Amino acid sequence: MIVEVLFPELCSLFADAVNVQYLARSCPQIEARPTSFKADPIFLTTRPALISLGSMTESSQALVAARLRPWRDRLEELLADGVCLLATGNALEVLGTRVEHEDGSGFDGVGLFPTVARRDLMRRHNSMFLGRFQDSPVVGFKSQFSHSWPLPGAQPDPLFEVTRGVGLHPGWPGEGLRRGNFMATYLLGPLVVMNPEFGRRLLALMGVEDPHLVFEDQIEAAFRARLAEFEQPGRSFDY
Amino acid sequence: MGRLRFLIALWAAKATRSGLRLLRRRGTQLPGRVALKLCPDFLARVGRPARVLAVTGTNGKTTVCNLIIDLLKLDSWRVLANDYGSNTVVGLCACLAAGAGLDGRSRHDIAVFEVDERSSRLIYPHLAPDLLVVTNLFRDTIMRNAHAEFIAGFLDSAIPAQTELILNADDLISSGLAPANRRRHFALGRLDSDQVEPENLIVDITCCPRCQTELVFDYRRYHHIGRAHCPACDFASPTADYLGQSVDLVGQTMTVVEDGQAWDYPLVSDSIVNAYNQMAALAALRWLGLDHAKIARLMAQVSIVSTRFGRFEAGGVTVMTQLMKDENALACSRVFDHVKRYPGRKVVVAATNYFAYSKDWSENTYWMWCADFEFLADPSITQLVLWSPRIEDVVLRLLWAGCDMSKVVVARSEAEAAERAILDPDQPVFVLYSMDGLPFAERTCRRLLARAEAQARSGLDRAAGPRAGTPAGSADPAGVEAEAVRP
Repeated sequence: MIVEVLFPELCSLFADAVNVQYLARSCPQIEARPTSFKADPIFLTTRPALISLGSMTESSQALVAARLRPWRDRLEELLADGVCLLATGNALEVLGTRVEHEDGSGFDGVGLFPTVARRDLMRRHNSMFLGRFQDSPVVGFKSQFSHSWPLPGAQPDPLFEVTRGVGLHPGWPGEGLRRGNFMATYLLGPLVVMNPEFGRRLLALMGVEDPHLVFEDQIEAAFRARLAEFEQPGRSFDY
Repeated sequence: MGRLRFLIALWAAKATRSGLRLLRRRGTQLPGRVALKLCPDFLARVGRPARVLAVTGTNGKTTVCNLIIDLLKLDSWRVLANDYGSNTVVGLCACLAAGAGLDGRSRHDIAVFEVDERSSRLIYPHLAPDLLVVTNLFRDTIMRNAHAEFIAGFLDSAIPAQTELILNADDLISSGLAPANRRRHFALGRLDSDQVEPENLIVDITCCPRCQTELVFDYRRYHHIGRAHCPACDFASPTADYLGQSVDLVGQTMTVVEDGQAWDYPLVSDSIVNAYNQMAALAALRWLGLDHAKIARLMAQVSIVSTRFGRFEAGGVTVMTQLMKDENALACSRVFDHVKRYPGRKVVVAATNYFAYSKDWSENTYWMWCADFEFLADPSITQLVLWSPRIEDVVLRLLWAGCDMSKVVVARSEAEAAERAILDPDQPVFVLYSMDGLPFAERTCRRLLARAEAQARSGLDRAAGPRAGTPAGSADPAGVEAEAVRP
């Protein structure tokens, strides 16, 4: 079972690579294969179980979008075939339609999601997030220069339902984006490590039977401790 | 009118400072706020010394600033500095107001300012430094500084065209700042401990900024510090104008090579990080025209005092306290690396994570997966006592790091952490503490030292290991009251 980690030298800014590493250590049948920025992705010729893309610098966003854009049709093909994709942090924006800068300039994204991201480098958004993935709670953190908005008339499906915190943009009831098994979220870095149930469900979507995670007792204990904090009514969600 | 407004602002700032001093407060910010409120272009109007030198960078700017100040003062320069004050725009305004006469003119030969990277845009347009020393650029806390490239971009857009630069040639991020400006580079030559393969999880530059090809590191010192080149284009680490060679941390000497000539220098500290800081200060003094012989003589008269590191002894046991700068994965990695490399076996008592966050927010723990907790799994660490508001995350991270959990003690209270640490004259105890953990470190240190003294007095056998079942806060030999079980 191949998991392709796209451009790890550029796209694991905030420990995003740990997600795949954790899944791989949990399931020996997973073979994590990094693809460097200058190499052709494995997904062009192979059907991976999961494609992973993590947080990157703002200058890398434009480069990565330009690199992936020519392969949009192939990505659509893989999406239709049920392949999983997990994008964390600002990788979400790269998969959207466009990223706009403060001065109106910007660049086109890959176009897998009908969204536009608006960047403001002078205002960093930092917050905690509590939501739901299907019927299970999800916790996470945001630290970003942008929010995303659906294109006019578009109604993309969110990945998570917002319980507390900020969604795709302030006021939107959903966080992240989902099309089939292509999932993108602004939640930072080690998403799987913070959300064991999400990790197990991701493994199931990838085709792993009876999925379990390593250090399951401890990862559950850490999750429960964080969830208990996030569920306290008086807890502040904005830093 | 503008001149009168400036003078009123200056006098008001001076009066505010005098008032604060009467109240025995330092007054490093408020006078600056008053000055800026009354005269928004105060920084552009206040008299500046003939030469203005600024020091910025992620790590080491305070040390480099203090070194330069100490060395210049030893050489009888009249130095204006914000060495006890804020490194933001209000701090600089307060400092310049204090340093100016009632007519607004400067009374100093030189100003040496530590400048926060993110304050650059507010300061440099009004107060262009003649020389800017950049120690290095690493990622810092994610919430404010995002990542190293963001801060580099910030500085690039703020550095005035006329400002000359002193840059670290071993840092591929900061060495390329403001490429059109005149510059001199410093570096340290290859060390025995340098490696080619990465040892750290964080490497803030991995690809060529020109063509995005993965860089080839000729050697790495730590993180992205080292020398590298792009195999596809001519991008490479710059050549150093001042190269520190034959660095002997034990004998505390090095040789500095400039234009093919070598000069012997004393090292002012026993760490590589401070050898870099010393090279930065040395380069600044060379820019000011001091010759090597004089700088070396001055260097022999100074030392670096770290407020973030303490060393104490009692009953034959050494206890060392060290700040981890929690949330800053890189700073924590440097501390873990230092502990790992410290010769011999050792015990670690660590209070990780922000205690204050556990009350109102929840700490963004992404940094724990970027920090090199793997260093704490080193066999030379014989016991690891943990006390943390995020203990579940810490234990998970240590499991992931491959740590032998039989040597890990999870303390249920601060007092228990000090009580259960092994005290052995052959093993120093490192007390690591987070940004708001200084009181913990002080209390723990006192408890450990009191225990060590009592142990030596009573001639008890050395503690053989973690004493399972010791009740939380059951013993308090330092006379400090036991803490609550959880913060």
